[in-house]
Amino acid sequence: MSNAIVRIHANSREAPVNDRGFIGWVRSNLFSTWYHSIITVLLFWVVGNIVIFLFEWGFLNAVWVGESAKACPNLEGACWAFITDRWRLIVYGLVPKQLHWRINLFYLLAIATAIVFIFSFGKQDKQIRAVFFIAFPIIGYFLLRGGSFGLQSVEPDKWGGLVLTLVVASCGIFGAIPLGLLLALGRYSNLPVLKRVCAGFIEFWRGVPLIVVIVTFVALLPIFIPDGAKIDIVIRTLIAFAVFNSAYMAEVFRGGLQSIDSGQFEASKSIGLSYWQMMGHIILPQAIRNSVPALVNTCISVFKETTLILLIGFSDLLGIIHISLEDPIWLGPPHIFASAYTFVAIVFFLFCYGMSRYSRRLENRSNISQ
Amino acid sequence: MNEKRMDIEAGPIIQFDKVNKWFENFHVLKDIDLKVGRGERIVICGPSGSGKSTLIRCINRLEEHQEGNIIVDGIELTDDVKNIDAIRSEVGMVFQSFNLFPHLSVIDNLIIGQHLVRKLPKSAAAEIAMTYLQRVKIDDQAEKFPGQLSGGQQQRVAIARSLCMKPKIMLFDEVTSALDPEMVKEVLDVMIDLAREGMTMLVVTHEMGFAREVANRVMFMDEGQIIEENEPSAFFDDPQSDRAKLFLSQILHQ
Amino acid sequence: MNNLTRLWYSAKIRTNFYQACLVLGILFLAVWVVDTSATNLEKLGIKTGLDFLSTEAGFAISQTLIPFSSTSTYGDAIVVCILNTILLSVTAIILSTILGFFIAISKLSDNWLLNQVASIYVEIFRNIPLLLQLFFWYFAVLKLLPNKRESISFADVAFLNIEGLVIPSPIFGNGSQYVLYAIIFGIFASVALKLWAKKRQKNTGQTFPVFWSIVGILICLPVIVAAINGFPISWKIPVFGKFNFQGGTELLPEFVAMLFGLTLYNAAFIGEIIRAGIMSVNKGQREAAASIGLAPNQINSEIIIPQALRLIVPPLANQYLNLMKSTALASAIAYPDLFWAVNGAILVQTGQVIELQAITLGAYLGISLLIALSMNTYNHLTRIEER
Repeated sequence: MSNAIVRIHANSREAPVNDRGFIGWVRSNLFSTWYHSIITVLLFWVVGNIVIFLFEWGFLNAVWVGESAKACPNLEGACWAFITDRWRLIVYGLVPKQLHWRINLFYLLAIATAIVFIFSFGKQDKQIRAVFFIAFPIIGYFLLRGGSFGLQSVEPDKWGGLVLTLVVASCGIFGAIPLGLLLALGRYSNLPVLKRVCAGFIEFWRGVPLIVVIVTFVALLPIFIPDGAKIDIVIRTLIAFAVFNSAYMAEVFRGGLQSIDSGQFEASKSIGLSYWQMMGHIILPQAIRNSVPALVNTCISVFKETTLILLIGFSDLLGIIHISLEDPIWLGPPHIFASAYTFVAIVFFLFCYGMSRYSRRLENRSNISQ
Repeated sequence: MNEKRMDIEAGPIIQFDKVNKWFENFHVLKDIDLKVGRGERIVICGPSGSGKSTLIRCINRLEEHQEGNIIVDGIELTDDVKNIDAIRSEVGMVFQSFNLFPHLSVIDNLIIGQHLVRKLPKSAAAEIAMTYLQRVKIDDQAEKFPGQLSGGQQQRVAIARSLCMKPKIMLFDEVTSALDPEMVKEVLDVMIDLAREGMTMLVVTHEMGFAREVANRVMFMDEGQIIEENEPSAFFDDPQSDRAKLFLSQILHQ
Repeated sequence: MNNLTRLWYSAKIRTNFYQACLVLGILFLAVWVVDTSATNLEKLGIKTGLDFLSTEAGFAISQTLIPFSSTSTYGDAIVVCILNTILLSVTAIILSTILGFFIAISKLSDNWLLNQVASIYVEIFRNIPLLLQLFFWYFAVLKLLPNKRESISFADVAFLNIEGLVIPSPIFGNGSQYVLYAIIFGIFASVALKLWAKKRQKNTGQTFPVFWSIVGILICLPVIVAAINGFPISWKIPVFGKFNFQGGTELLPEFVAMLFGLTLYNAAFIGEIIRAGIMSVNKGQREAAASIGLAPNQINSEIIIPQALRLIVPPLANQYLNLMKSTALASAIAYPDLFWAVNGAILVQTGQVIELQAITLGAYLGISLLIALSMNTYNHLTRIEER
């Protein structure tokens, strides 16, 4: 005779109405306590007003086409007319019209590179990504600069608008990454002199503002290097971007290196791999993969930093808009400024937010594959 | 366990002469004198912090000793890079945390050493790799990645990886301590097979059953010294030193 | 193996040899640069030396915390502008930390709407360049403000218009120094009281109403002292006279725009840093604390915040460092900060590029090192000892 207690199987029932579904969600997330309820109502009112204002300003009352400041008389509507009027400058800079096809090719190449990096993962696509990583800067440079392969030469001071922004950002990214990797390896090594030199180099550039660095390179390169004055100012700026950001990239890679378990080093040494074999085949592949999210964050910063070149007189995306605003035809009350800045803000937001979503996606993917 | 003749008279394969090591100011190895014959299986046990892992890690220069001499298969272990490389190619090591390369598949883990260090073409290396994977009974997982294997499977792959380099000596550093209990046996079985084939082994472990079955000698270490050495049954049944008695009483009550 | 190859294979000798080559390479590079510079400087006819620091500046600075006149030197100008930079940095740090704190709390809140609004704020302000935000505030918003006559007033005490922000300024009458002494005394007394109360609690387990006592000391004591002296501290509230405001302090529109831009931009980052720090404290900590019976505010102050602080302070210090460095952008809207002075006004007038760049780099590096040093000290003092 057993003393076991046995129960009949019970089916699952639905939760009470107030706790489930939309009503339940609203109750717990918006009105859970009295002060939460007040906050919700207030926010609703404030946010609602802002959204309505933006909709009216940006769409309903906006002026889309026009040729001068007279087209946009007041604050009621956004002055997109300014943008549509000046779009050629924004997209092509000061490059002469007959060479616009090269700029178009450059944009196509940039888009292709972006697509490759966004949609390719895994080992099999490593070759494609490496190819684009090297091809984009090189082919891009020749497309923009010309002077060889039968292409007409274009002076760097003609670069402007979105093109210049992309060029500067690319230099800050593609130039800084290899240099940063070498610096990180140097700082991570055991040789005391190499370690200190790399650490000093990195900490120096991290301690000063970028704008100071740019001015330093532009002003001092002609003095420090024989015939330094012959180097175009744009090139000097690009060098400044690459060197400055290499310090930040180096720190990102250092974080990646430090995240590698010491056991990986020991296992590699115990099967007899040499230093470079160990780094190249075992450590760096893992370290770089771990660094990618922080790397993309740094790339976002580089992108935002490109606006600084306007302070030394260049016309990047923001700069060219700024200059156009001073054109007498468009010179006028501040609300045109507001519309123009909003446009630039939207462009930057799309790029930067896009990159940050990409990095989050990469992070999720690497978490899954672990 | 059949007794293979230990050729200590032909020259020990590992020899420590008055070896001392410090970590900063901490004296971690004190006057270690040790001779290991070819084909000998030595189990090193002792409380944590006694220097057991440090001792075997000195053999393949993962740690450097400050005083004394270490001679492995006739080669003296010094600063000389060539010597270190030569010794490392004869000594295989298996770690507590496996340390498989996570971004390479199982078979690639076994190929990479042979390909880069022994300069074998990948196809030849793959063949050798498969034989060892079969020996540790894990050949069906060859294309998987370490993250997809259980702890016991990973450790067997780690053993196969070392064996592919055809070492003369195998060092085992607490290789079952990180495993769930049900996986310990599969790894110990592999190690027992290895012992049967005459491999020289130094095993740091708490697995007393393994020691009784396989070891020629048990060394008990405490606070950086080898306190007691004896045959396994003699050591476990009748420890001579007080510290060994204390240690055994703490372990064997489980 | 002969002795020479033996030497080469020694790991120590090899690494020392490589490093010696590196040192020699750097020295050679340095010598070459100095030599080329000397030649180029001569060619360009640029003077060297630091005597320009004692030359008269001859330009005006719109915001000066210490006296600066037309006879002040370049050296004085640099000092004034460094002070301006520090003022801007410190104010922006304080304001953005407060705002960032509220953003962090909002993102941690259970209220979905509050959460979303905070998230949108963070995404917007993080992904738009700082310079663009500054331009927006300065050229688009501030320029839309009314002129002095029709200033926007805040309770008739402060006024915002196109030429800046006018706030009341304090007037220190006779006896106001006693109030200051009372405040200082109050601070020391509060600290001493807190330490004493903690010790007492440790020994006897009894708590002392420290909070209200401190409130009493810090507020009541100075008020009493002030009353005794006949309330010597008063405010001069700006009053609009015929063309201008009488009394009060006028803050430059550039300063106001910088403050706005820096605060809103950095608050987004600081909010994320604080939130990440709090969330990274293991959930089990809160549960364990609750199961011992600690009240929610005790859980926060004794368990969660100390651990979160360790994870918050380093990136927070880094953000402050970035904020300080970004004040250089102020020169874009002609706010007289260090960069504006050295690379704008003084460079144009003296042309002594090397010295000026060295001063700029040195100044920013100095401030950075100070912040980094404090950070390292803090890390060292609060480290958790591990085995």
